[in-house]
Amino acid sequence: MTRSVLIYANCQGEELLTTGHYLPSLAGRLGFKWIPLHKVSHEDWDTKYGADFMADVVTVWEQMESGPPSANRQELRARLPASVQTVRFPPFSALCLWPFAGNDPRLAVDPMRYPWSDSVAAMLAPQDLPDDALFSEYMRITTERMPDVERRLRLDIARWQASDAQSDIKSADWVERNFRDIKLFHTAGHLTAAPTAFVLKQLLERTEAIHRNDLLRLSGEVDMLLRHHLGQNFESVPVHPVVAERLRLRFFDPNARYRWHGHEWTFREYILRYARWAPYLD
Amino acid sequence: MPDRLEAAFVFGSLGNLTGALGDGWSEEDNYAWALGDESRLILPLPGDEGTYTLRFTVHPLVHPGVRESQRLRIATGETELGSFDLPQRATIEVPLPIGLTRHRHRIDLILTHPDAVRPRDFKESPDSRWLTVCFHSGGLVRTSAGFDGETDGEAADVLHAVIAGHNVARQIASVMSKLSLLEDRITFHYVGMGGTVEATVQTLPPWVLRSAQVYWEQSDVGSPDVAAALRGMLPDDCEVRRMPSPHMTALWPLQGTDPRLVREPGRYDIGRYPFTDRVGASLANMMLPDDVMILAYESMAEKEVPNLDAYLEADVDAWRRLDAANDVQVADFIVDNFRRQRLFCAPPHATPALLRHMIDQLVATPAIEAAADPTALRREIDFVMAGWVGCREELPVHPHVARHFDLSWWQPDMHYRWFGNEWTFEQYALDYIRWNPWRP
Repeated sequence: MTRSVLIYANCQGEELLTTGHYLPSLAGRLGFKWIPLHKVSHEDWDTKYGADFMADVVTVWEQMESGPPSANRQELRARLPASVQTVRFPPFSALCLWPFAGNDPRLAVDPMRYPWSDSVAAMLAPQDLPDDALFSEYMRITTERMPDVERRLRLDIARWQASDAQSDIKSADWVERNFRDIKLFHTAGHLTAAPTAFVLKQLLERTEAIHRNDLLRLSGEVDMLLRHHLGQNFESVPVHPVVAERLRLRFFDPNARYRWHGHEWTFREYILRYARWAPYLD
Repeated sequence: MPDRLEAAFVFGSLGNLTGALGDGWSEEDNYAWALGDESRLILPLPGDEGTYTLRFTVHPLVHPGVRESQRLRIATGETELGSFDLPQRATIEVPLPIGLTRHRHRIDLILTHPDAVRPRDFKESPDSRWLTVCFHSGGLVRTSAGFDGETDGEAADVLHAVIAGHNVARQIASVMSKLSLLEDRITFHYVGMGGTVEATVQTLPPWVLRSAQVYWEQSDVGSPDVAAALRGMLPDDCEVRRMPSPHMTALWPLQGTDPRLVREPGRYDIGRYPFTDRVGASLANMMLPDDVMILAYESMAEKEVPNLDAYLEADVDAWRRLDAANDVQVADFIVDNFRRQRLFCAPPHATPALLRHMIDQLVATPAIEAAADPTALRREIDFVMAGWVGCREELPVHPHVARHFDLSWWQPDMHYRWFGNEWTFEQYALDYIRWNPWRP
């Protein structure tokens, strides 16, 4: 029987799962399974994640959350055989990059069209303005109301450190050191390939089911699979130029095009599309 | 006519309601708590004769054993507008009687919420505010019953349009189904033609095919039996248009055999690099550093590249044959434009620019033109397709080929999309030669 690593994580776990699946050195030797912690339901534990599902699990990569363990996490832990090794790792998130991610009344009736809300674009939505005037008004309001993003960064760092404190693998220092130079986030919770590579290599290194002699080769394979990969970019929300300036984001390119499903738009194009709640193609 | 958002309300200090909040609120960046027993809210109205509903997205402060839900009553003056018991986050709707909105420019709301609790009383928190319901956003929605905008009379009957085929048909169907000008007039249905007659026919309700007014078929896809069966079910007055599946080989003339290309089920179902390169294959066993390998590849490729003009001539002949067999014409357009516009991203994959040309011809039919003004429709098609990159399987073009054809859209350092990856010609060539794994 092939042994498996069970990944208990949010959608970032899917990146670990897919990358792990394509590692040549582990093909046929070690498989990967994922329980999406943000989607798992009470019934799933008996229907999808019962004893058969757990039978070949030798290691759990458990992504930590703040606060006391949820009912699902307790359920997971209760179902794991005692011999299973657990490696705990933190989630990645960045709220400071999108300070206007607030509320949009349109999400109440159409929650999936533009799920990464922008409250200022939402406020302008009902106004019947031509493109230039709409974007100009958006820039005026957001510049005037731009919150203290450095303070928000400090709050993010505090959250990263709190997650680190619960985890075997630490990421706060690495994120803080790199987020200005390398694009790490497509949205507040969706990652480019760099954080996935960073955490995956450490997870592999700490996994006892992997032979120590394989680690160097596996690290090279992770780099090979992810060096040209764009990560979770199917919804990439543009960063506001004033945020980029205030946070001194050196990777920021004002003319960058951001993928939104089947499209690639500039910041301006995205804001106009978002404000107009425009349909898009996959 | 769908409901229309007349005004968007965003609570919190970053929102647009700070001036509208009366007594009984505590604002934070992105939301506002209704405090104590009662809060006041003054909202603008358009002052016309429309019928309106207020919509709020809220979440109650609840805690097991302390407070299971929060009650909320919304009134104006003596008139109760709505009453709710909120155990969890919800979007609530408050229809406004027309007598309260007609020719009025504001409405004063009184929010009553008798179940206030203090966070510090049930968890470790210094928060001593008496909190009830947290307001996130809201909207003033003009409801369809009172909307007398653009329609004149009864809604037109919805027609059915069937688009059958494979990639080209699927992509065209996805564009057509996003057009607001047609959404109440024509429903577009895509049918994949890769399966059996029975399986294909069953993907649609039988009455859709029997009543279809428009049928667009991608030719040379699937079994002729499937195409014949679908056509046989159409009504006599259905407008039928055939469109081609154009290919281009002249931009990728080094395709050939590569013994490494085999199915790898579960990882690369049609093979790791399905578009082969015979020069790359011939270098597969060479152990060379990157820069030397690329030099070797490029020098060999320049010698191996066949007569590109002959390849183009063969492509043109094939496109002309497609034109003769289809209603949608592509040959002249491709010949005139492929140097200045990217029309193919891989031999079998048309880009949005070529698809746009095909759509332009497809919509020039009586049923479509009767449903929407052709000029406005084309403008909306351009809007929907703006920034669309289409298929993310882009096969890099060899520099020698690009220079030979003087491709103005090509640049030596351009990046090509390959599923979840982006790479340059050189990066792709090296990975191909070494048959490196990639992940989608």
